[in-house]
Amino acid sequence: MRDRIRRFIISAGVLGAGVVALLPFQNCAPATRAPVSANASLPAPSIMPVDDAPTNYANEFEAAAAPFRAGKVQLGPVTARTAAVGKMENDRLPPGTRLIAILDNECVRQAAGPISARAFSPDREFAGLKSQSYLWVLDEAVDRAELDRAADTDPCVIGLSRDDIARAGAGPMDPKLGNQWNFLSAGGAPSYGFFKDGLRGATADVVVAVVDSGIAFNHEDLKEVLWKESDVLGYNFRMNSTNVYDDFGHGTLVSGIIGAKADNGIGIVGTMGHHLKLMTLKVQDSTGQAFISDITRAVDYARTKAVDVINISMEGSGSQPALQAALNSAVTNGIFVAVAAGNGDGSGNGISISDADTGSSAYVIPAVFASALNGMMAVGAIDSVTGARSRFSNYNPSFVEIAAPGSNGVYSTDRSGSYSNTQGTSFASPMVAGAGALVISFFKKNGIAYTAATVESTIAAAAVKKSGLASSFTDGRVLNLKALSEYLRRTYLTPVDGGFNEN
Amino acid sequence: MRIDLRGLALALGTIAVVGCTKIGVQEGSEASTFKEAENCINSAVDACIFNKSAVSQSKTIMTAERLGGYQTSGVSLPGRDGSGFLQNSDFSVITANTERATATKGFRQYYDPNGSYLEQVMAYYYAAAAASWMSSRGSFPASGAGIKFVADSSFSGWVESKNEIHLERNGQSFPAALDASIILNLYAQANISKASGGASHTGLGAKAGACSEAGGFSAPYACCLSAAGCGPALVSGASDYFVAAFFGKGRTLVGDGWRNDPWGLTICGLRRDPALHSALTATSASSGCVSRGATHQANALGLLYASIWWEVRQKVTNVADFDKFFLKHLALITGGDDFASIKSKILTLDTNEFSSAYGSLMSTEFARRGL
Repeated sequence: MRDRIRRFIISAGVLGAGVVALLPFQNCAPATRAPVSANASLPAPSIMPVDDAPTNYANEFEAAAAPFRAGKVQLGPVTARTAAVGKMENDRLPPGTRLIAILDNECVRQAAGPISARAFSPDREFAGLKSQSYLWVLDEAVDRAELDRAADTDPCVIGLSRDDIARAGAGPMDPKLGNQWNFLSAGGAPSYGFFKDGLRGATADVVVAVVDSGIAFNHEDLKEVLWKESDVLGYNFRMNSTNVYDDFGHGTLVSGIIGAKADNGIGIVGTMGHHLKLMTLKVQDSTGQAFISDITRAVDYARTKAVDVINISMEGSGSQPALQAALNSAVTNGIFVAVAAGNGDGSGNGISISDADTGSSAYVIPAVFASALNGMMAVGAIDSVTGARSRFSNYNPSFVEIAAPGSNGVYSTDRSGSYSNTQGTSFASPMVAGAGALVISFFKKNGIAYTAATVESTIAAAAVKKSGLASSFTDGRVLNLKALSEYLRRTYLTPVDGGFNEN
Repeated sequence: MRIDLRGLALALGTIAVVGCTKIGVQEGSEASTFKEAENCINSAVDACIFNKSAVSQSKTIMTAERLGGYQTSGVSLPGRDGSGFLQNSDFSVITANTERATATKGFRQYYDPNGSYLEQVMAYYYAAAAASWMSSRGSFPASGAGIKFVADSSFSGWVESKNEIHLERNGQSFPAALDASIILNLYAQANISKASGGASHTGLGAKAGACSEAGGFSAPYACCLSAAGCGPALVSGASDYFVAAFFGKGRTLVGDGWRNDPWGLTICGLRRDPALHSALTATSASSGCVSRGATHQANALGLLYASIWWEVRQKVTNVADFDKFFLKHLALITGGDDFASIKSKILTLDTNEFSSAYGSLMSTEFARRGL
């Protein structure tokens, strides 16, 4: 279902000078997930059964991220740290070696090749799956290079890799993780161990302020991560009260992506699912509208409470110097700010935004403020599966500074107390907000001085650069949490390492 | 407080064993005997560990269920400070994410994927053994340094700024601390740092920089600027060589137990085994990672450096003295060095303190590699 983009600008004549209504970018009705064919470039990790193989989220991520795209996979461990295995002539795999073969079931039935004929097991075929993985235990020693060559010539082999041994604690233990294609495609699972490391990870406490429609504070996956001050969870600027219950739904979805509690055996995992508290700053009413003045007050409130990160998944138009000044002050005070780039012109197509305030719809606030503020990032959306820019996402490499998954498998907590799929740049922004929280927590834990600008530059430097997105987002940057964890480790902890991860 | 080395009488590059039932001969090492306890876990020993690693012992890929069958080396854990933890003034073994091992619970434990007792014991034993090995050769740079081994970390590496050695628990097939070659490799890095007063890890940008990220090398100094080498290559190579020298011939491979692969760790197809690269030259080592956008990759050039030392070691008659020579040279490594500058320092050291015993061999070997 195409996301429904609503965006309106209310003239000063209607609401008074300086008052602009903002709308969240998302259609809160559950979005459908695009079907993934067996030949899709990124198979859904959660529906790929592995015969007898223990669950290993790191492996699943690797499978999702790279190997099964084009051509055949070179044999090698499927650990998160391992890229290509390189040339290893005369290397023999001993009997008992466990391999995982990804086979095209239909192809095998019609004309199995040398590898697929041996690896295929009809009693383990999952009905209805065009392709799936099979465990294949070697019964005799095999030359690794020969195996690679055989796999290359076998038309039914999609991928071939070594099995691995899973251990407890390798990834988040949240049962609906498999639905979170946004989190998985952004490298959330393989980076989880590093960020949760009790000694050198992102394990200092941080607070993220969510300027939005409130929160379903009784939600099972959120109730333990709420910021509180004398039993107050934040503030309702719309009603000037302390009741921040989400009567619209947008804020609960955003909050879950930022910080749904990890490892609690229920639901999903947030981008930072531990050592994080969510401050709820309600500015929207039950229809999702907000006043600029309320948003400005919320930003100022967050600053006075010394939060670490602010997320604003809203858009509006027109010059708003008060809001710009508030954001500038927040950033100056070390608060990292993530904002959504916006969801286009209402037709479902993203637009190129600009900071030229000529009255056109391209002047999208607060997104266009970001490029001039080091410490604030405007976030566009990409498809979790294809990696392409989401059709609705606004763009412009000068103003949209990074992208994160915002469509196709974006799954989060909803105000009903359950979980839903959704889409919009509203849900890409909280991933970057969560990444900012991880970076700040890491810096705090390891005694590294930082500013909001440092946080932005870190996220930018660690982002994956995709040339195909360079015309949409600055340098084609895409948030990847695994790359972020590697960047932090190599930059701040082990600049001279043993190269152990460079196989 | 220094470790009491008396309890490690047999630990010079091998396993010290208590309560043994079988005697074997270790391949190639000058400290050539060790014993094996077939029913170790029920023996009167402090702990039962792997001899280097389970994969090194079995020469095959392992499963977690089979690991316990290879915990056949019964050892004592000497030098502990009485706190009940695995620690002394030279180093301590701590945890980041799992329960810390204590004497109260006992150190003689099977591998547990939900805990890290065996990992902690392995780290302590092999650190102590390495300390003993270095001390017996007159140079233990990290003596009294209070280095922390994090036996269940989320990553592996020597963290200079925190004085910590991190041993990854979930990154490769098995925890890093179940592979003594990883423990020793990282402890070597720490000792190089201590020997040089930190100089080995500063000024790295003079001769090294980032490789192409697309190739998977994201460390800021993962590539030397030329085939002439760089500080990170020297540190990497000296650490690989340290493992080889400690374990001796036939047991020189790094990372087989960690990776659960008898092939061990590789760098762009080059196995991390100094004994295998006698034909490696500066040119070939530099080009090994070209296909991954990483010309002059530091770990590949490090293998060149390690194999230079290893080849000379095969030619000398007084191996223990040569080990002393190697350990002494660690203090000379700086982040801004390359092969030429370290060679010059090595020759000066040889002249001044080793009666020119090794200079000619080293010069010849450097020259044979195009350096």
